[in-house]
Amino acid sequence: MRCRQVVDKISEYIDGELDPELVLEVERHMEHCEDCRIVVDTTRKTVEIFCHTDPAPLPDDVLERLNRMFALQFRTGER
Amino acid sequence: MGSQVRQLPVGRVRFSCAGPGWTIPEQVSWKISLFRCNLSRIGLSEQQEWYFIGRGLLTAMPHSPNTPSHLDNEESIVAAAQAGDSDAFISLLNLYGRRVYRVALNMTGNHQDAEDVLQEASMNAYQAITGFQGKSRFYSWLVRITINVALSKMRKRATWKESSLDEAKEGEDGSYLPLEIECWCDDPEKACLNVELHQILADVIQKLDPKSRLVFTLRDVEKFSTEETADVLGISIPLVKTRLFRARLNLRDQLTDYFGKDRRNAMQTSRR
Repeated sequence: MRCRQVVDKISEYIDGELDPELVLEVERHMEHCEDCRIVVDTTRKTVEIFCHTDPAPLPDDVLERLNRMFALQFRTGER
Repeated sequence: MGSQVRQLPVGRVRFSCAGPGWTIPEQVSWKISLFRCNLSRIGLSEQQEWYFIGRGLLTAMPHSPNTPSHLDNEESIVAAAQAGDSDAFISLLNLYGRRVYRVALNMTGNHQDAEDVLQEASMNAYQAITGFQGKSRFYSWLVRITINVALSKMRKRATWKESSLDEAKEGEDGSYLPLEIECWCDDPEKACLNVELHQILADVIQKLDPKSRLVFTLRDVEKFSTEETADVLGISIPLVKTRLFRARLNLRDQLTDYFGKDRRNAMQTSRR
């Protein structure tokens, strides 16, 4: 397997969706290719950062305006 | 065995979940939950007596060990909202508002538009909730509404140029070559302050093309499955995978500018 092929499969590899035979090929390639190891490792970290970061807090005034809008809606009783 | 829902009156009330209309069968584990931000639970005795201040919705339902607890709650809240309970609907907004806002913000790229989208999507959801059939998660149903509202806004502003979500654009052939080959610091999330991290992630995600950004937002930020993402966006699974692949590698390249070892040193130096 060549670097280009490893990169093409990187997304499925880090999601664990790659066929076991291809996983072995990717891992064999990475044993002797530092560049691919770095790309795989940093792509995995990229996903983890976005995955683990909580959403920024919803600004209080945004929530307040939303609640006001619905309070009005509920008073008029329309759906 | 279904859930029980009781509307609490305004004011301070003493409520016993073993009271009239609230029988707790033996050998069944019951879970009592309270929703609504402005309520305070001020005491829970051994006799399962709950005290509340304010007005809100209390649900009690048998807890199945096989079902994640938040889904038990969600089903009963959605059912109450569909039956016209406004507090239940507000509970759903409190539960998902932040995440809806994040999807809207990732799509539109600015806070004012994200707020408009949150308001319009919430109103559309309120008006359509009786039509929600429970075939998907409530949140994915809500996200579908949010995306439609955001797309409509973006099309009006011509920030969404392509005619269809399903149309593969030029260059979407599944190929991408990494530009940056550089190790990152061991723990990039600790390499900068939390507020900086939010800003960095917001900046880099906005540099993706809109369709890849949308797929990445659902799949890796909102943690939808590939199938769920395809279903919500009405596109094919291979197209989801292609756009996700390109988004991940593009973001990796961009984040290497921040978290590559040399850059980490530069950030630490600048804070001193």
